[in-house]
Amino acid sequence: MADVIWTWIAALLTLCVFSFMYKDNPLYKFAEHLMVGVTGGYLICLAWFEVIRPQVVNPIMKDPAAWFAGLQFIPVIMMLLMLARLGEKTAWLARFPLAFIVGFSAGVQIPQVIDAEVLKQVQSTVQVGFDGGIAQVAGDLLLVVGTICALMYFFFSMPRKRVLKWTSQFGVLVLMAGFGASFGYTVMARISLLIGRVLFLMRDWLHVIS
Amino acid sequence: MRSCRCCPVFFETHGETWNLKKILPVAFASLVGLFSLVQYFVPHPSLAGIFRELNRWGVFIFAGALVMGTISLVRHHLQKVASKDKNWPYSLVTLVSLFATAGIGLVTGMERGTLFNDIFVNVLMPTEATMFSLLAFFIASASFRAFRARNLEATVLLLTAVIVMLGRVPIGRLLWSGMPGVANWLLDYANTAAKRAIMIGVGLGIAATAIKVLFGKERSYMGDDG
Amino acid sequence: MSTLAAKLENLDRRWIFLLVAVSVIVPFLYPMNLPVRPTKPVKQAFDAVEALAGTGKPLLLSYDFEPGGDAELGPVARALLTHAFARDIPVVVINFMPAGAGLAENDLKRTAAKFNKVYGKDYIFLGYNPSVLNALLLMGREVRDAFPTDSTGRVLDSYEIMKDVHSYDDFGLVVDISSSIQPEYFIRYAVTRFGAKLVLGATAVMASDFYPYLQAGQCKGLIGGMKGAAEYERLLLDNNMMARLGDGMRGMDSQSLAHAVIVLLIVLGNLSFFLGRWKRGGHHG
Repeated sequence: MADVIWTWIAALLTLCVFSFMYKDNPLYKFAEHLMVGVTGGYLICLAWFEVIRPQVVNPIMKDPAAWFAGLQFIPVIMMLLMLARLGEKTAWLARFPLAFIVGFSAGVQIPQVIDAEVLKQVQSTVQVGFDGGIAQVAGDLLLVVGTICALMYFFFSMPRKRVLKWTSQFGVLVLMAGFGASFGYTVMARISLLIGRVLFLMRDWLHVIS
Repeated sequence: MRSCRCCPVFFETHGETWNLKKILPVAFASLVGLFSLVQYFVPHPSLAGIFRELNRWGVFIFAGALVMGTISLVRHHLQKVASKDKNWPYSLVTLVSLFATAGIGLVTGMERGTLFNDIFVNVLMPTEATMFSLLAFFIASASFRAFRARNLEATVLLLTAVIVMLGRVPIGRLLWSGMPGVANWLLDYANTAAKRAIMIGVGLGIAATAIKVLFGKERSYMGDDG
Repeated sequence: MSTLAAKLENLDRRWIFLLVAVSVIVPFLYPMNLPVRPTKPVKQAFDAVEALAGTGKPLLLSYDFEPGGDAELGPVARALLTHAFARDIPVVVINFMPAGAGLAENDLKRTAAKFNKVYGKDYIFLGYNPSVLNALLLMGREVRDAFPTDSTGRVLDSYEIMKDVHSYDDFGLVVDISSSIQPEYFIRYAVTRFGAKLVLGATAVMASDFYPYLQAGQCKGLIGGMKGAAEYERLLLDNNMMARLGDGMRGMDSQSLAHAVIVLLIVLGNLSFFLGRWKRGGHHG
């Protein structure tokens, strides 16, 4: 019985949100605000059960002296400094944890990004095989020429004349093909999300399909 | 352009008033950033130990951000209720559901089979999933109204999109047996070339911005007066 | 002709909404059973998981999507879990998206129950970590630094499945199923820095962006959205690891018809555009 009631609640909330398709209305607003509230409550529980309890409370309860001697209070202070942002006069203190995150990410990213997203990509472009059937050879050629030309399009330090003009124009076409692929896939993604809801309504709620 | 007296290389002041509230966080970011960069090239166990600790700090700070976001949300809606703002009853819905969910979760735990999990599955999941599914209708409407073959570039975009749309689903093969092959070819080569060029550009951009952070030139993370 | 163009230009968008809704609903009532054929990136992903069978090495599965992406990525995750459990591959699940923890908890326990798998021995859920960057770096040396306990709050050493598992080296394969930024982090840190073997599951919106990684060999397979899940389910059915259609394959008829409708809308939109332009050109002439 409880399952049926919950399914009805889920279905009615689904319909409340779908009612927005006709126009904005109180049912939609109710569902929207309910979702925000439940998400907030969910985040509180998640922060407690997944981070604060296992990483702060449990170690303190287990051995407070070791926790203190191991300087484990420093990350807790950093965590609390984030909350300083809520006060007008204390907001500047939150710059320290933010500066830490930004500085740390910057430092670790430099070698990794250059390796994974620049060098490895260049390497994989120049090492294409040019073997297989005609479609694959043409594809490999397009991959090499297309990547170079699309990069030329992003090169703004010289006037677009002669070679740079033609290559960057071809680069734009390659970029458009890439954006077209993204758009096609985006349509696919959005339709899939709708299918998920329709499947729920027709199978789990109305039982019109098995 | 003037420089900060304590560290003229890192902190060009651009005529701003500098004080410790600004200098210390920027210096902190530079110090932490330089350390995390250096330790990549110096795999000494002592540096690895410090690196491990710094990583744990990061986890705590993100947890703090999670808590701060929730408190900020509560404060925002409390203000709306207190001032009887327009639509304040909806803010009340948010507050009641937030405290009820948190209270139930803290008592029952989050595992499958609890009341908290039932709320997650039957309230949070359908509302969020349906909100995202609305995009299906809007993208269809946008395709009809704005997706025009106005020039060569737009035509290439449109044709690729249509081929991918049809070639990646079973109906494409029914319309023309070669459709999936063409769609896959476009994805494997033309799409890869375009995305790779963007990736290389973005990668270089990230590295350049990171270097600016290390030298205190990039300070937008400090907020309005950073 | 010009009247038709004007009518199309001024069409109330709610008619379009209705058309899309009908195109999604009707195939569920009258299935066409269109065949789904697996593509190369999905086959590669399937083979990478299949290669784990018998090695005893666990699969690390990162559940990085929220309810908004569940329709697309839930079937991907469930297909992967089904594959792993059917082949007796131990599964360790982690999560970096807040609401993904609830999805992982439910999918994992529901799928495990179908195969009579035991928590802590055959599978485990390590829970949520708020910082993907820091957690992935910590896991390069020790999983326990990023996840000191599992999602129930017990230390990892108390579970059999985690006995010899410490870093990426101890996992046979890492799979990230994501609707957000996590794949880039997995590529940069887990793969590039620590040499992990990675398969990506991504929303269709993101899938086309990951082809450069696939071509460069930085990820060993790619499962894109609900269609990718349908292809994976097809492979599971062909290999007798699945008894009936999953949500991915069930949705493919609707997906097909809705795509056809949207292509039709694009054609109609362009028709009205060119008719309008022709009419304006005629007036000027």
